[in-house]
Amino acid sequence: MSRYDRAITVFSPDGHLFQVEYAQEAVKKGSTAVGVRGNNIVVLGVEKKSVAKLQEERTVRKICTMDDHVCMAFAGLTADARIIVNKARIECQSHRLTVEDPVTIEYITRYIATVKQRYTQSNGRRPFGLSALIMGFDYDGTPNLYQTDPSGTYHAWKANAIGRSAKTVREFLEEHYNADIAASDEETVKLAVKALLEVVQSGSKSMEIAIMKRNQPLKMLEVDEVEKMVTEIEKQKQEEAEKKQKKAKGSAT
Amino acid sequence: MAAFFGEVLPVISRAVEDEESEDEFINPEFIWKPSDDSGSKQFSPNWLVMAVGAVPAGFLQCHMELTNSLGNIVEINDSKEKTIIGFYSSTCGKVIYCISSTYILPDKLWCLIQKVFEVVHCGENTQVCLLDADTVYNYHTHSIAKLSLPFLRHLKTSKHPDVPDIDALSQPNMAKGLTAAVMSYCQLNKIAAALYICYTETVLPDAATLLAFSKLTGEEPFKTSKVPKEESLSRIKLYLQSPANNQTLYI
Repeated sequence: MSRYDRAITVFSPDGHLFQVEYAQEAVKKGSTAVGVRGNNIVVLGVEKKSVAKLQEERTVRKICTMDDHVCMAFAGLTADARIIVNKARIECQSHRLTVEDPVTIEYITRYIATVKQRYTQSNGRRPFGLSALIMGFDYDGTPNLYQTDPSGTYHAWKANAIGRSAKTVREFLEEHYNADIAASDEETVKLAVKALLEVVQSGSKSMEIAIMKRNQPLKMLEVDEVEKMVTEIEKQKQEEAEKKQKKAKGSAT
Repeated sequence: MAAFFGEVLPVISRAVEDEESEDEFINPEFIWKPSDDSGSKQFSPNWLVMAVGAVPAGFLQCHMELTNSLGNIVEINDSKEKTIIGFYSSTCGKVIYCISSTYILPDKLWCLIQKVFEVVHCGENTQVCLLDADTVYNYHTHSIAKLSLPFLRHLKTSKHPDVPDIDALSQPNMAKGLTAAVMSYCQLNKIAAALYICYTETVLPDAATLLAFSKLTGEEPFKTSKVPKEESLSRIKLYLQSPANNQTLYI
């Protein structure tokens, strides 16, 4: 294996591009990010990194806007994220100037994925160690959520997670996401919060939630709003647990 | 030298004799550095608990804080005075905790083990508990997708009683490094020892990986029945927020 994992442009005999696969491992070292798409709202939730005492917290951000109607959450190498965000922002403005229309979410996702793929096929470069969740509304009002990974692939999702413990969060989303939740803005936001609570140990203080509604700019939820939601969710969980206990006692007797 | 597929292979020229550099392998010398209180005495604990690696060390440090373990009693340093293993004692003196976060070269392991057991005397009733961690990608199984991460596996010497709650480490998976060397020593010297390996997505300590060891907290030597679970969790969070765990490379 070591003969085929040093150069990005070399396939192994069984078809692996090890540098790309290693880049996907780098993504798992980043903290969790979750995205949920509703019918009228899109939500991004991220696990906030603990900042050092003397560090300015506002400079450590996992959610960035690309344009007024597009934003992105990412997981992986911090520096790679900065480069991709800068490229994407320039592309959004370039598109506006050239075509006189804002980018569609699919267009900017495809652009980011193309940049990433180029770095998997160039000599002397390494892939970006970054996965991104890109969300927003197209000019026709359609909400979208896309995910890209270091290989340069991209897909649309109803709900997805990236970063550490992404598998656990994705399984939670698969179990709980349905059309009724997507129809309600409040339930969509709650689903993102519940999914994050599966892996975030310290509750609302370690979370950042961003929402975007049709024709509105990105809004970061305040700490007390998130706190209130988490308290409500925990109360609901407790009530459900008590109901289950009563049922179990009832069936035992 | 360029190979057929465009990769560059390092080739050492046989025409030139390399001069011996200062970085060449030097015979390992491990030095005891006792704290002022312990002097040069031997320890005969009921339990020897050794944590190797960042994740087990984090769990053990949290546990030691909860049980108010005595301070550092002795260290093993290498020839450059870098700490290889730190030893700590519980307040009752029945448990010795060892923490090692340094990578030790395989050819130095046996010397190190001899040094450890020079001072820590394991009698008939002494049990050894080893904690280690590895990434799940080094775990060989038919289907990784079916495993819920993180998970624990154990290995034990023939003198150790059965471990019912945790699955055994199955072939072809192997224990490696310092913990494997200690297990070999214990098996040869008929000491009851058990090794618990935590397989995680990442070997960086985070709440999920540290809590993976919580399966052990119901049994000795980690039983802390007087400490509520919330305090354990808050200790873990404090540990994870410490400067050692704060890094900006990944976001």
